[in-house]
Amino acid sequence: MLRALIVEDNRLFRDAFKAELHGRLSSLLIEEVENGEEALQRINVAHPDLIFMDMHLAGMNGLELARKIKNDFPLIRIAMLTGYDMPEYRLAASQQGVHHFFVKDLLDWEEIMEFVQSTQKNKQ
Amino acid sequence: MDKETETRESLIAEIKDLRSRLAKSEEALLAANKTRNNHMRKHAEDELRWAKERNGERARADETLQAEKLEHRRSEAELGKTREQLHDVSFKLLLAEETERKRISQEIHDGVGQHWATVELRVEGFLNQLDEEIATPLKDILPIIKVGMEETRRIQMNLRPALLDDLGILATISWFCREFQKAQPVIRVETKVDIQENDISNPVKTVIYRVLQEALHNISKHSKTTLVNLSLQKKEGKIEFTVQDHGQGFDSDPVLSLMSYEKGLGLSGMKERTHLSGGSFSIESTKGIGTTIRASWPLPENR
Repeated sequence: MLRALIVEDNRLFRDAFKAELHGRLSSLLIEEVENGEEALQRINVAHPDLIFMDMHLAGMNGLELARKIKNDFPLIRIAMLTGYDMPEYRLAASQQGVHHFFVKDLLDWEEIMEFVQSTQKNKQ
Repeated sequence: MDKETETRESLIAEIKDLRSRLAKSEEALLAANKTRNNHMRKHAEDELRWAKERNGERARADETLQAEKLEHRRSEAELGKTREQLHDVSFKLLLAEETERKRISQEIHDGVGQHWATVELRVEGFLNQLDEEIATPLKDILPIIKVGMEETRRIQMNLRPALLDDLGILATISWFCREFQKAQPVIRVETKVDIQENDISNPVKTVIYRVLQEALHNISKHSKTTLVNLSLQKKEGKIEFTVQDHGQGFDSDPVLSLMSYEKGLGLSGMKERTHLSGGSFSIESTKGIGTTIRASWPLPENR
C-alpha cells in the first residue's frame, strides 16, 4: 500500500487537500503533520513513499525540509505545494531534490495523480 | 698780627667754610640719592607687581582656555556618540520596518492566502461532483476566486517579496526585472550579476532590493529610456550595485536642482538606506545622456 505524508501548517487547506486526494485515490494511506520537525520524526516511523509539502512552513521551510529528506531518505518522492508560481522557486525546489512542483492556485490534479501513480509503479 | 698770621687764619676760615659746604653737599647728595633710590625701587616694585598681575591674568586666561578646550573636546565626543547612536537607532528602525513588513506579508499569506487556496480547492472539488448542467454556470466563480488570490499575492509582494527571504537577492532581482519588463515592455533591462549570494549580508540584500525598486520606478516614470543596465558585482573589495539608464537625464548641477530632484524621486530614501547599512551612494546624471545610480558596500570580512 502506498503511503503519503502531507506537511502543511494550515489546517483548512490540509483537510481540503487530504479529502480531495482521498476522494481520487481511496487506497492511498494518508498521514499529516504540521511542520518540518514533525515531518522528520514521522518519516522515521511511518516510512512514507511520497510527501506533499508546503513551501512556507513555520520554522524550517519547505526547501530546507526537502534537502534533509533528500539527504536522509533519498527514495522518498517529494512534491512541493506553493502559492508562488515562479521559475526561481521551481529551480530552487528542484535543486533541493523536489520531484514535482504544484501551484496551489491551480492544482493540476491530473499531474498530481500521475505523480502518485508513477511512485506506485516505482515501488513495484 | 703780622701779615703771615692773618693770611693763615683767613685760609683756615676758608677751609672750614669749604669743609662745611662739602659736608652740606654730601648731605644733599645723600638725600638726593635716597630719594632717587626710593623712586626707582617704587618704580621697579610697580613694574614687578604689574608683571605679576599680568602673569596671573594670563595664567587664568590659559586655565579658562584649557577648560574650554576640554569642554569642546567633550562636547565633540558627545556629539559623535549621539550621532553614532542616531545612526544605530535609524538603522534599527529601518530593520524593524522590514521585519514588520515581513511579518504582515507572512500573516496575509498564512491567513488570507491559504484561505483562498482552500476555498478554490473545495469549490473545484464540489464542482467536479456536480452534473455538467449545474456545474457550468457555477464555474464562473472560479475566476473571481483567482482574482482574490492574485490580489492577495500582489499585496504580499508589495510589502516584502517572500523570495527575498526564501531564496535571496539574486533570485529577487531576476524576478523583479521580469515583472518590470512585463509592466514596461518598451524598456529592456540587461542584468549583469557577478557575485555570490553569501557575499552579501541580509540587511544589505534588503537595501539593494529597495534601491532597485525605487530606481526602476523612477526610470519608468521619468527617464523615457528604452534600456536599463543593471549590475551587481564584487569589485575591488566592495559590493557594487549600479542602475544605469540611457534616458533624458536631468541637470545634476546646480546642486539645487539635484536636491529638488532628490526630494521628488525618493533618492534621499535610497541614499539614507544605503548609508545606514554602511554603504555609500552616488548619482550622476547628464541631460540627454541618462542617469546612473551607484550604491556600494564593503565586502563582509573573510570573504
